[in-house]
Amino acid sequence: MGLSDRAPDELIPGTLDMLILKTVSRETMHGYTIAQSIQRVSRDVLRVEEGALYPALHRLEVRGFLGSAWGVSENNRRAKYYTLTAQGRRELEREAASWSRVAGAIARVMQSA
Amino acid sequence: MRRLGAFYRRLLGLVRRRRLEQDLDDELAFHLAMREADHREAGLSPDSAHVAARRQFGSVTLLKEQAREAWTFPSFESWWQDLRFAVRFLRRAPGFTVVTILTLVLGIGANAAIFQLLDAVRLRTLAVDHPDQLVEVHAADMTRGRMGHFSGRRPAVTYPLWEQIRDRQRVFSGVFAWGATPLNVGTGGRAHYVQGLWVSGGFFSVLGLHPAAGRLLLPADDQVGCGLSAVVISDAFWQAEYGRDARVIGKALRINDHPVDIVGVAPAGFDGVEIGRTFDVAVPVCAQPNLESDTGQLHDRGWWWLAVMGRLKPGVTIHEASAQLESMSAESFAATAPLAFLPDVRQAYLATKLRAFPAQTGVSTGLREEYSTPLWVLFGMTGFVLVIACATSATSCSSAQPCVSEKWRCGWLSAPHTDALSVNCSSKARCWRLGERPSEPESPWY
Repeated sequence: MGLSDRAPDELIPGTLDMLILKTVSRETMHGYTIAQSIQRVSRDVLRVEEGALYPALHRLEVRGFLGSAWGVSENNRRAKYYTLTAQGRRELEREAASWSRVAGAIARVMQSA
Repeated sequence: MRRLGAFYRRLLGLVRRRRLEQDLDDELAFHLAMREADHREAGLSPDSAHVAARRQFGSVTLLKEQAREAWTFPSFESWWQDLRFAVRFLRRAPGFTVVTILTLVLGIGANAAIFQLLDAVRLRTLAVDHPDQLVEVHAADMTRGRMGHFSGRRPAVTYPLWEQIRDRQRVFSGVFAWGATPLNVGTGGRAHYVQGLWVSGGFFSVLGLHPAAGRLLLPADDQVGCGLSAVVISDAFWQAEYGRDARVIGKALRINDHPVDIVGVAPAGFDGVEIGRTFDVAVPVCAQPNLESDTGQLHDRGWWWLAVMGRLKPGVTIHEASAQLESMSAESFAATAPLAFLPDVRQAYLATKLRAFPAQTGVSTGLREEYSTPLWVLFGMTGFVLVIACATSATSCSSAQPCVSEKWRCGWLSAPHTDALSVNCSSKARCWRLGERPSEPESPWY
């Protein structure tokens, strides 16, 4: 994923996985909705590009964090739907805890001046 | 568990490759269609909506390749990357490298050394044809019913008993007797003792050996009253004494001051059927009275100096062989009972039962009994030491900071597994050094 107004190398690695897991944790959805949802919820700050999204989805699936099933989409097309597995939920908790620690630390440093 | 799961899914991915490809195509086509629809809704013409969606998508081939990679095992490149990383790290920490290499070298070396001993004493099969068919024949209980002279390293039977076994057995395709004795091959009054073997006529043929030169001993060489007919020398003896000269065949070798014709050379690598022992010359059993002073040993019913081995007929098990040997025991021992035995020994002699014992790794004359258990214990211990050595190396590696930091923060992140747009440390030498990401590096095995 990339931030539209920043160099891509300034994004903390691994956050895309966490964002995907979080997004899917709310409901089962297909890749397109996942990307749309992240963009919408982040108010257009985070834009997930396909080149990052699908490799990430497949990687998470192989690692057992996401389950998938083929279903029919709202506009009547065959689509692959992803769900969070129990394992994925645990991973998400771990990631989220680690993330909030880092984010909190950064915030404290930035506010200290 | 989780690692296994991922490994399994990757394996499945290998098998169902085409299905995965199809799914990936469908998934991306769906995504494109959705995006196109959104563009149209936003007011673009169908054509430009299509083009815009495509453009946003970037390289479909690259994308598919990256998604596919999730399903495959790490490519050669990522192995190579790991290897380069390892070499770089080892070069930067020479102390650690030397200690680790020494630990592993010692651990592995000790194991290899002990295993060689164990292999020789316990595991290695004889260098003969189908060693698994070979069995040794001797009394079930060798401690009772035996009296008289005992000579050689494996005094299991007397010559008269050997004749009984040879003539009465029905379970072997071939059977032979052998005994060990030192023989003097010195000339001109000089003594030069070598390892000698008494062998019955079937020895080489039952073992299925082929001569390195000349011919091997045959049943015809081993007839009672044979005189000083023939001797076969070992390959090692041929090398040491004659420099592998083929002209030695037909020449006489002086054994115990009697000239005996060398008829051939045993194959290289064949050291007899005794563990840890070798032989230099093999002479027929029948030559014993002539080569040694005739003490009546050959026909003495109380002189134990030979061991017997047989090759099981195809389809005959060792248990069946034992059963037949047992059933013929009474007659065999009755026919050979020495008159001089005390009554109770005589009774025990008559009641002796012959049995077949596995001999595919050779016959032991003490070595195996003495060293087998200690060697297994040693082997276990050195194995344990190696495990400890590995554990020590692993711990010192994971506690050595560079091991963790560079690989986890940079090496892995630039590997193809990670986000297409994430940090690429190796090219820009800029590492993200905050937090503990990634919490779990992806091991190449899953």
